Parts: sequence; C-alpha cells; structure tokens
Amino acid sequence: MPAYLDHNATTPVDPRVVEAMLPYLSGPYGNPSSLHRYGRAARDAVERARGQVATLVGAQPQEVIWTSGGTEANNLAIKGLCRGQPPGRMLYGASEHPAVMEAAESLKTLGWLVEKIALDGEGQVELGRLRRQLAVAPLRLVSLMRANNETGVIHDLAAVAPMVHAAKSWLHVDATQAAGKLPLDFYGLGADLMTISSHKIYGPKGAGALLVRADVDLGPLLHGGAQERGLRGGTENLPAIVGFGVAAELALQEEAARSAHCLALRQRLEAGLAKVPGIRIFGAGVERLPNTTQFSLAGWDGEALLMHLDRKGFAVSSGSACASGSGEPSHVLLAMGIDAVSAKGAVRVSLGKDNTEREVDDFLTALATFAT
Amino acid sequence: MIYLDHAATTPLAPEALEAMLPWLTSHYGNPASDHALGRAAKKAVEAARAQVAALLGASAEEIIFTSGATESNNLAIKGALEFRGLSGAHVVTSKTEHKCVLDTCRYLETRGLRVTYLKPEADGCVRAAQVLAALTPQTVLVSLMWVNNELGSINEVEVLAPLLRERGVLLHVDAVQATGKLAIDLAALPIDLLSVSAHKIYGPKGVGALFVRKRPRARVSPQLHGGGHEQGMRSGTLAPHQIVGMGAAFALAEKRLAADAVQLGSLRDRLWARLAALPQIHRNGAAAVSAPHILNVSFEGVEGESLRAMLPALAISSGSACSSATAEPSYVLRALGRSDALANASLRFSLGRATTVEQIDAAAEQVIAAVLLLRDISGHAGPSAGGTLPIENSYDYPPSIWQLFLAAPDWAGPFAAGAMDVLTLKAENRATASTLSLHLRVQQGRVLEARFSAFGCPVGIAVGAWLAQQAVGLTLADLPALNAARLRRELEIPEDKLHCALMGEDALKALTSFT
Repeated sequence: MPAYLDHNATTPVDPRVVEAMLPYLSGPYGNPSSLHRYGRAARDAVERARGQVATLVGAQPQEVIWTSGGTEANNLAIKGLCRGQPPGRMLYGASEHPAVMEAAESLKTLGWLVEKIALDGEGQVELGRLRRQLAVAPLRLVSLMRANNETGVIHDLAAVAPMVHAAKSWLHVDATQAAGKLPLDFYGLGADLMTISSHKIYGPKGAGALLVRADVDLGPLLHGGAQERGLRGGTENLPAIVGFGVAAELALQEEAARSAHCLALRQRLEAGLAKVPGIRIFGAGVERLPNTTQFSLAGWDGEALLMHLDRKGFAVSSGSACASGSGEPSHVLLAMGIDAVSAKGAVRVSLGKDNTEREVDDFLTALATFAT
Repeated sequence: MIYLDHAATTPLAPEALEAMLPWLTSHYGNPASDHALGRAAKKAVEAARAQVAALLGASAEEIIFTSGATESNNLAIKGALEFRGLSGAHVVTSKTEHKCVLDTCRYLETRGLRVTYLKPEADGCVRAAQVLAALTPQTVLVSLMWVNNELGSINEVEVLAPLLRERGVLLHVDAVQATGKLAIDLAALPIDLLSVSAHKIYGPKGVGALFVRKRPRARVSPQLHGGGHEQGMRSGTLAPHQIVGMGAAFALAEKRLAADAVQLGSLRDRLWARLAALPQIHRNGAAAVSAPHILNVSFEGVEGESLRAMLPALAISSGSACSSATAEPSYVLRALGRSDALANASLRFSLGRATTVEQIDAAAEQVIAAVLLLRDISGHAGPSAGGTLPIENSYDYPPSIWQLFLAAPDWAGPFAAGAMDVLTLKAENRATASTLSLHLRVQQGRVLEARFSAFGCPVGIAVGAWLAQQAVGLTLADLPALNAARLRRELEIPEDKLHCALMGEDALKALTSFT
C-alpha cells in the first residue's frame, strides 16, 4: 500500500479547511481594502482568521502579519528588522531553513556581521559557545528554529531565550515545523518574532504569518498599500487566509491527539528500523518532533533509496523539499558533525495525522528489501 | 448588489475554480518534492506557466511566479536596481503609478536612488516624449504602468518600449489592468520586466507573476531568499492550486480577449452616456485612450462620503481600493489637477464579464438620484431630485444619525425667494470643506419655521437636520443650548466626527452677530 510520509514538506489540506475556503473561492468576492459591503465582508473574514491564528500560538491578533508563506515570513523577520538599523551582528542556527540562512547571509552586503550558532552531534545548540557569541556587541538579532525540519530536533529555547535577551538582542523563532505538532506559546517561548506556515498544518499553500511583538520596530519587505499596518503591502489572499485560520483552530483542538497518534506510529517505525541492519537515526538521543525520523541506511545514497521507495509508492524525502534534487548533503546533518557520506544517505520520514500502522509496517517491509 | 469594482478584484472564473480543486484536495504534493505527488504538482505548475506566458507572448521560462502584483512590482524595481547598484542611479516613473510602485521608489530614495515622477497629461496618459525628456545618463530603469487602475488611461508603453531599448534603458511595466483587456505581445514589444496579477482577471488571489526577459537578459536580485525556487529569483513553496487557477484564468482571457473588450467598452460607453445627463460632472481620463473596463467620474456639488452612503447597492470604489481605506482623496486625480473636494466626490466604475445592461442602467439611475438629492441638500443650483431614495445604512452610521440623514431632504433647502423674516446662520469647517447653513423664520424672537443646507458627510447633514427640527418653537435665546456637547450626546456622534458637532455649534454662534 503506498503511503504519504512527507508531511514536513507539505500536508494535505484538511477537508474541513477546504470546505471553509470554498465560499471565498466561489461566492462573495471582495478586496478586503474596498469600503463596500463585499470588501468589508472580506475584511471580517481576514480578521476572524487572524484571531484563530493568534490563538493557536497564544498571541494577540494585532501581532499577526499575513505573508505568502514561511519563506516570506522569515525574510520579513530578518530583513525587516535589520535593514532599518545600522549594521550590527546577527546569529542564526547552523541547521536553519534556507529561507533564514539566505536571508541572513544577504545582510552581509549591507555591512552586517552574520555568524552561525554551532550545534552538537545531536543537533542542539552548544550553549557555552553561544554564550561567548552573545557576549560580543552590537548584537541585534538571533534566529533559531523551534524544531528542525529534517531531524525534528527541538531546540532548548527555555535556555536560549533568556540568554539572547540578556544580550539585548531580539529573538526570531522559525516555528514552521513546530506549529500543530507541539504546544506553541509565543510569549512563553520568549520569542519576539515567530514564523508559522499554513501548509504544514493541513492548511492551503500560499499563506503564512509572522508574529511580531508590538515593541519590535519592523520595516516592510513588500512596499505598497496600507495592508497589515503598512508592514506588508498587497491584496490579502482571502481564501488561503480563511483556510489558514480554520487549520489553526483545528490544530489547536487536535494537537494533543495528533501528536500522540504520530508518536505512537514513530515509535513503531523506529522499533522496526532498529531491526534493520545498517540503520542510523539522527538526533535519536534528544527530544524531537513526534512525527519526524531522519535516518541513513548503510551502503545507500539517500536519493537512490528515495527513488526506489517512490517507485513502490512511498513518498519520503532526503531532507528539505526545497533542496530536493540538489545532490548536496544536508547542511543540517553536516552541522551536526555527521560525515558527508552518511549525510548523503539520509532519508526523512515525516508522519501525519492520517497515517496508519499498516502504512508504517508496509514502509518497513519495503525498506527491509533494500537492506543487505 | 451591483458589483462594479472589477479593477479591485474579480470573481473567480468557474473554469479556474474547477482547475484548482484537485490541487486543494487529492493532489497535495509540494512541487519541490522529488516523489510522485511532488512531480505531479511540478508538472501542473509548468503547464500553468505556459498558459500565463501564452497570453503575454512570452516563453514559459520568462515567467516567475509571485504572491501577487505587489510582490512582482517590488521584485522588478528593487531587484533590477539592487542588481545594478542603487547609488547614484536614476529612475523615471509617474505620479499615477500604483501605490506599491510609488512606495517602493520612495523607499529606494532613502537608499540613494534618484527618482523622477512624471505628471500625466490632461487626458490621464503619460506620453513617450515625456519619458524621453526625463532621461539622464544615470537613468537605468523606467517603470510605467500600461493602464492606470483608477482612470483606465493607457500610457504610451508601446511607443516607448523600442525607444528605451535603443537607449539601453530597462523598462518595467505594471500590466495588472492591461492584462486580458489589451493585446500584449512581448515577443514583439521589447519590454524587459512586466508585472501581472491573477485576481484582476478572474483568477485567484494570492498569486501573480513577473515576466523577466531572457534575451536580452533582464536580471533581478531576489527579494525573498531561501530554497532557490523560480530560478533563484523568488524562493518559497509554490502553491499549485493558485498557480493552476492563474493558468486557467489566463487561458480563458486569451480566448475571450477580443469579445471581452468589445462588451466592456460598449457597457462603459452606455454608462457614461447615461451619467452625462447630469450637469456639472467631469470624466477623468479620455475615452479615446482608455482601457474598456474603467470609467472615472467627478461630481460637483456633492461630498464623497455622503455620495457613497447614498449608494449602498453599488459596489464601487472612490479611488484605488488600496488607498480607499485611508479615505484620502485620490492622488491620481490630484495629479490630474482635480481639487481635493472634486477628487473626493469621484467614483470609479470598473466593469466585468458578468456586468449587464440592466445593471448599468440601474447603477446610472441610482447615481443620478443620489447626486441630485445631495445637491438639493447642499443648496446647489440645478435640476432637483424627484423624491427620496430607499437606502440602507450600509456603512454602519449610528441609528440616530442615519434616521436624520434619511429625513434630511424634508428639512433641506432655503425658504422660497421672498419669504419674510428669514435669518440665515452659516458655519464652515475648512479642513473637511464642509458647510452648514441654518435658515430660520423668526417672529418676535421665536423660531416659526426652520430649514437647513449642508455640504458634507452624512453626520454633517444629520447635524443640520437635527438643528432645524429642534429650533422650531424655540426662542433665539434658547438656541445656544443646542451646542456641540448636546449634539454629540443626542446624535451619538463618533469621535472622528466631532468637527460636525462643532460646525453646528458655530452656526448657532453666528446668531450673536445678528442679535
């Protein structure tokens, strides 16, 4: 039986979400900036969704800035915060998503000093080294993801956030993968800015959000129009925003059940993997997202294994979907000190709320045929 | 409700919706994923890319998908200039560009760019000769919209493009309002960068594209960094359902281009012919150089907010939707030389495929009735309205204010010429260009009859109507008790309209100068 085991790349849209979107695709149309009735109905829908998304992360609606997705939200956080200030220092985790890495690196052309935060062999921040990096002024921003998209490894933000703030720096947290899989508390995490994305939580693609605390002085990335308090021009993507809102509400209601379901499946998967010779699971010793397992199989290149699994109907990934097909070893695993050969062998299984035990068992059976 | 706001956004074409649905349900892969679901999504994205390219006469690899035209315009202008170096560079654009182009240029000015903002000619169009005259040796980019979103006026993009190519100056065109309305052939026309949007031509919101010419190559620096999607020019997971919807909408537009243009143009002309029965109105932009779907008209002797309030059954815009939230008079109309008051009393009608003759006639009838009624209330000379409009409180004014606004025509207008013992008290608010006159027939220090004239928003009109109603039977000495505090309390006047209450009080204060 084929199975979709690539939920960290994207999730199916929940049918309840599609249902909520349909009226806004087929029925009343309006530009939320128009003053007439259609426009105001559109605005009401946008604001309702803003409340739903804020509630998912325990934030205030006015702290939600809509974007076209996680990539734009990460770009807005980093460039929007840094470009308006005199050049200073910015740090980001060595396993961040390319949207954070590349946005951060782009600051170098403006005279910024941009450094990576080193990780240990399990993918977690080396706090001693971070402390030394934080001690050098003028530090303006630290960007660290809540949980990694490839390994699922969760960062210890409870330890990191106070250190960052003590160094008089803002903290941006990319929570794209954590949303819907872990309880997420914007204030509790100590985040000043936080990224979430719709299509990782069973919402539609094309919508994301940046959470921004009121005291953060942010500039826009997309200029034009007074939308989003002047921080993000452009006509709001009404159906996708409505879908994102409903997906957020469902994620909040069902988060515990989904996580328990995924964790049980992952334990079954990893118990099975333990019996396959030559398997190595990355980040196995630390807390990870309940749905994610990244492993390598001795003697196999990840891309080749992926192709064979795909032919049998199993959709998995070698790492980040964005880097698929590049043939480069995962920067996440390299940052953990994993050798390039093992890193190139990586396969990521990311489970979802609708996966079954049978699918996991079938996957293990298929994998066993490749193990020598 | 008659929807005449297609330049703000259009309904999704059923063909586009149908094409989108599978990509919202069973076909949910990430186009960047290297498995069957991912590859299916990528294939659909590429098919849509070809459809978008076909309408524009471009090739598929010249189309970069974005989240919409605002992002396309940002990417084109910032991307082109960042690639070439901002400092000391010069850009030519116009004062009537979309807000996102102007905001982007103003932002880049803070980073060292020099910008010339051209004023359109009286017909709303920017001519090629104006652009050429503004070029300097440092000019690297001209950014000019093809069709203006408020006026429908067509800039001389087609004349300009080859002239700029000869001079080695890059040309970016915001073609959001031209797409699907005018024929666009980028194979023949040497435009370097061109922005389009899906939701203005019956596609979904949340998606647009930037055409980036391959030969000669028009390079832009990415504005969204990340996984290197879209040839490295625009990172971020692609949304196949939106992109497929855009492709279907563009394919449909290609098929219907000629028929749509004829139908829209004929309805637009009919609307203008009907409205032209009103004296003292002005068409903004000239029919001869205008896209077929937009008509913009200014009405003398009425105030914009009251005009909108009297037209609750019409979904129209009083400016670009993006700036109508701010309620500032349109900067486009001001660039044409219209006064603030006239710019404020302007309506943009934008027609679409579903617009009918009946809708056009009904819309014209409602607008004419509203304008005549408001002119009666303001004491403006000219033909008078026949009766009242059955209108609903669609902008949520406090009920007390709305009832008075509805009753206003019964109390409005001066007494007949030659009436005896008439006292007229006047006040104005210069900031909002509002005026109020109370007409009182007074005998032995007591008000026998009262009427009013007002030019202003519904609250200002309600203040006039209330004062006229309350004044009857009072002595002149009683009148000052109808002060701003009382007006505010009785009418539940909101904070941002307190100037209307003060104008009422000012009118009564004028009494002291008589007595």
